[in-house]
Amino acid sequence: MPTADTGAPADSLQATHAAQHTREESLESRETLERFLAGIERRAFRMAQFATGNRDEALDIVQDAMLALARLYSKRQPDEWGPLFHRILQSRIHDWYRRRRTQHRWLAWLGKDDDNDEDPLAALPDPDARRPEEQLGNTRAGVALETALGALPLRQQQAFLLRTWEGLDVAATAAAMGCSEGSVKTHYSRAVHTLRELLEDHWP
Amino acid sequence: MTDDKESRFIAAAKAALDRSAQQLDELTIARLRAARSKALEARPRRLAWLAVGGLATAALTATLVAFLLFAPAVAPPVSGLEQVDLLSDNDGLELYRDLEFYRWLAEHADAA
Repeated sequence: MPTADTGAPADSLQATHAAQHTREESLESRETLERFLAGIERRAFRMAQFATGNRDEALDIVQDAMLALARLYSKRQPDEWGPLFHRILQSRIHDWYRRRRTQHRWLAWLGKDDDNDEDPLAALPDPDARRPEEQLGNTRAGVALETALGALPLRQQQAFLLRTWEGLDVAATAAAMGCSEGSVKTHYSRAVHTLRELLEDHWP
Repeated sequence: MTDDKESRFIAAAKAALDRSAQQLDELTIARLRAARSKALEARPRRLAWLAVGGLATAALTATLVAFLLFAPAVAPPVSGLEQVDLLSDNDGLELYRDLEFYRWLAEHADAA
């Protein structure tokens, strides 16, 4: 049986090649994903830190976002990773704010009730907010910017960072934030207006 | 121009943010690197399992082919040692040739 005689080694060789190809493809996709994460992780961390005002919380958020991207979307095309990652990251930041809001409500209920905002996510300032007005006079521009960003309402902060720093357009920013394009324009405009006022001495 | 001022402000803010990201402390950088490694390890391994499955299939195919090539073509129709003995000696062959006679003899012997 000539076909049977040569079939087994051919099958084996084919499977070995397929396995080698698969391994190479897997290594290549791993390297591509690693490059993507390495390129975005610092900015992601800073964004989470501006939102939470806490390094450990920010690191946890970034790690969660990275894990979710790797587990759920690593097989997608690399050019899809950016929008997906930002969507996950902003969602995690949003979740953190929700949990924080619940804590504040309980504290308010147990103690004094001084927070009665209808939409805290849009208006709630950073819980660890510093006072930018007090610091702007004697800090460097970069520190002043970080301070001012940390004091912005979350939605304005997200819109500003995604549009300015990540370079996302209005539609991509809206997708990442999970809101309408009109909301993005409003939040971004307010953020720029506030930041320019606060940083006028540094960047007139 | 207001737009020019805004553009300059945006550019300056972006540059300041870039600097801040480049100036992270070593501990934070190390923790980000660890988080990245953890994420990379968490990728689904479907392709690896496919490769293992392919190799297993190839090995099974090779085993089957080898068995078909090297196994005896016809198995001996032996049902017992007595039959082997009967067929291997000349007395047994003569008995088969005269089988009809021995049957007739046995029938008549019983009748007698």
